[in-house]
Amino acid sequence: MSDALALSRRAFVIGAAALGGGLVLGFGRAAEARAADDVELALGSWIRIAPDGAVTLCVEKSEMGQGVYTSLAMLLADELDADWSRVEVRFPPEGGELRGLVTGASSSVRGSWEPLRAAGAAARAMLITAAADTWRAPVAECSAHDGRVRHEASGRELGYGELAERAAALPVPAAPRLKSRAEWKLIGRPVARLDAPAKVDGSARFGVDVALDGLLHAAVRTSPAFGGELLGFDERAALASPGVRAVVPVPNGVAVVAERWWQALRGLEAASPRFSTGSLSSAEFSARLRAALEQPGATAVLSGDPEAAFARSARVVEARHEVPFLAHATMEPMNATAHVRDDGCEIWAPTQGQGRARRTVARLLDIPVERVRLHTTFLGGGFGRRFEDDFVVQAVIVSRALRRPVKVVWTRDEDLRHDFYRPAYASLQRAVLGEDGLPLARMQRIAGPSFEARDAPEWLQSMAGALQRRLDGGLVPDALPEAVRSRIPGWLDLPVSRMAAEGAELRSYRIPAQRIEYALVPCPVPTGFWRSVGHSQNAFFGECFIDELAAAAGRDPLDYRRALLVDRPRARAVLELAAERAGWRRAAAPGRTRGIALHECFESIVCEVAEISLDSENRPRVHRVVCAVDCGTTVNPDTVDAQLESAIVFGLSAALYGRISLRDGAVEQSGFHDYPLVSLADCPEIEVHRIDSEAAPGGVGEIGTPPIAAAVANAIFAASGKPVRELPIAAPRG
Amino acid sequence: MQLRVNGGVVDVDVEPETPLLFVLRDWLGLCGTKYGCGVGACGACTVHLAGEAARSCTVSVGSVGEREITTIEGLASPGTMHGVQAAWLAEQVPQCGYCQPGMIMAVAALLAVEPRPSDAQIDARITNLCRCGTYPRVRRAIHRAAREQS
Repeated sequence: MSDALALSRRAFVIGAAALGGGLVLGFGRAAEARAADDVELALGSWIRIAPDGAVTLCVEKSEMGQGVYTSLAMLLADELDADWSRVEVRFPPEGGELRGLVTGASSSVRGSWEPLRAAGAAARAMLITAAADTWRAPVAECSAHDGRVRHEASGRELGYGELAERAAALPVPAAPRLKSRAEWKLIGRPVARLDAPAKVDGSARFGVDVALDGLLHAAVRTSPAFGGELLGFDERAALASPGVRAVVPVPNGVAVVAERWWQALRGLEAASPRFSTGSLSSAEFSARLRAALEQPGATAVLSGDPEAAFARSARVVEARHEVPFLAHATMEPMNATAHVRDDGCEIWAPTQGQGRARRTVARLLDIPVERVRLHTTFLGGGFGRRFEDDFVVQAVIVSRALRRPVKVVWTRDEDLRHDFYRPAYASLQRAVLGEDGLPLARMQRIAGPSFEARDAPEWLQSMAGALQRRLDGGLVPDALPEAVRSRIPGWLDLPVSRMAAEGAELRSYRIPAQRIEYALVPCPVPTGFWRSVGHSQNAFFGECFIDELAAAAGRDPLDYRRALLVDRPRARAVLELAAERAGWRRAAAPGRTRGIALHECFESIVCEVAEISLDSENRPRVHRVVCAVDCGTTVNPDTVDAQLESAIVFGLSAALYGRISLRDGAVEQSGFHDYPLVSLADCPEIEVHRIDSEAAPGGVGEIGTPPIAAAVANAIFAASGKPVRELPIAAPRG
Repeated sequence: MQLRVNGGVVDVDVEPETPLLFVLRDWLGLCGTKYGCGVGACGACTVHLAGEAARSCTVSVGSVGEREITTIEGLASPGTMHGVQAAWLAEQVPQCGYCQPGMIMAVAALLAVEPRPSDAQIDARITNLCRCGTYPRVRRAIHRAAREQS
């Protein structure tokens, strides 16, 4: 990687006249920014240095706990050589042309790694040049540190604030020099989170805390049965309830609007909305998943000739697994604030999908997207749920009916029942083992809903499923006539859900031949992106199976994996580190067993060892989790540790307790009493060990989740001799 | 009715059965206390009533009486930080931060009566839910705050 990065041609600078003076460096639509009435809105990412030296950095990723508010600011500030104590971070409002902002896929740091450093370096270069010009000294003799430029030879110094206006008149350098690793002052250090003080004194503002003049509050209830409808409600009783101002229909339900949210809730109770019921139950859907495993699916991965290997050998190991729907259950329930006016729409929301929300709202209101302005608040958890636009659209619909600003907040009940769930899946795996006990071939069939098909009606999903079975498991898209493909949007993706299959190929391991198939099972339950997405179930399926193969081969699970990682030194290093820190080679304390799981995803590698004991009823208690991670270059090591801890606990809740079940076509769970989470008392000790690496940053936010279920399941297998084939593992301890 | 909140006295015109949580947030503008479930299961709404931790979503405003209500905003005197808040920063506990005010209030109440709690006491008394999994750091911060306040 060269140490000079060409800045996008779209980088530009706006000088003294705009935004109260100083230097503003933006990326995006220069011409638009200069012409715009609202310059701030028209700017893309930007750095602002005020005349008094205050530095404002714009972070365009949503802060949902993963720490980007700080780590992205570190990238800008380090290259800028800003005085970190003068740095403030903002989420800029999104307006103007659509820029497709989204936060997810553990991509914020690795996606911003180059552009943000280039931006900081460019601003620094301009400030140094401005100082050199002021002193009529050679640029090469000037250096920048902590918000000041110094000319060593003469001892002269100027602060960035004093230089800002002059720097603003300079052109943006096209290829600013980036610091070498040795020059980093912030990157790689456990810099304290900038948002922590506000989160500790209660002043941090989330979506639920948005306050505006004349704001009304709404409570909503929508059909519990998916695809069901509102049958009726008592509008008069709602309107008669204290503080209630209006009742507004929303898709599949009703919103009661009042001066305060509590009054809206009371009004909703008085309205007593009634809904149609459905019929799907968990038992029935589970039966559909298992039935789908009995027929060939569409091929997602094919390497080597697995059928030939299976034909030659009788030494086959087979395992079936099943996992349930899972909820996100962010602590802050779904909410959004919207104000639809004649001149456009303004939204305040804790969202991960600004671009998508603006586009959907513009279409809904039939206005140009430039007239939809969106402000992002802190998010009380995201985990992929807030990438969806449903809660934003709902608030816009209510505001549109009243032409008033309205904040819609969901109850916990509504939130848990109207999620976009991690799908339920069933899996069938078979492997044929060679003389040495290692797999010669592996096949897997994964049955479940398709993300890509989720907006397609069930009949279309069924059609895709049926079609794929008739096409002998080949890659369907090539076999379809163009005339058919072109008429059905998204058809190409329907038969093979890449999300369902992601991570299933266990890419770390040398398995000479593999076929992974996907069988689409139509599903009325809304599904979506749940922390680590397809890796969440595929690491469980695959890593549990690896332990069964190891057992069939009579080998220790760690040794077995080392043998399979023969081509992967980075993964082997992660495996060894976790095993060594967990004391794998030493006997566990009496009554305790360990399980290990390794997974590569989002360009990072994680290995976890779980240490458990079983009580008299064979329920597991997880005492300790040791995690090793290679995520390339680390921007903020403390954030990395925190994210691994977080993702492990998130995945552990799912592994031990997480189950969304269905009855009469609706979700049965309604709160934390029946969708339990790991608490402080049952949280294990967690250790995170990072491998120092100079590779480009890999993803961090989601990577800790995939291995934990298998690590715990494998520990249970070691203790009991019985493999865990279904999640969740345990009912909560009393 | 009159309420004693964070060292002051306020008048609110609300029905007595209104949950204290919503009076604090939507009538008094004290938004640090959060709604997480509305049924006392998660603890995000934890405040102090006469110094004891209480889940304000299950407390009717009418039942508060003369008891002093302390919210996260009033935990420390203006311009200062409570020892628990300082420990929280030292251990870099918060992630999304939504559950943290409730968690901090619960811990502050615990330390007021149990200055050096054992892990077992912490397990039994701190049952606030955190979806971001900050528990290991919460535990370290509690022990740190306990050490530093003694």
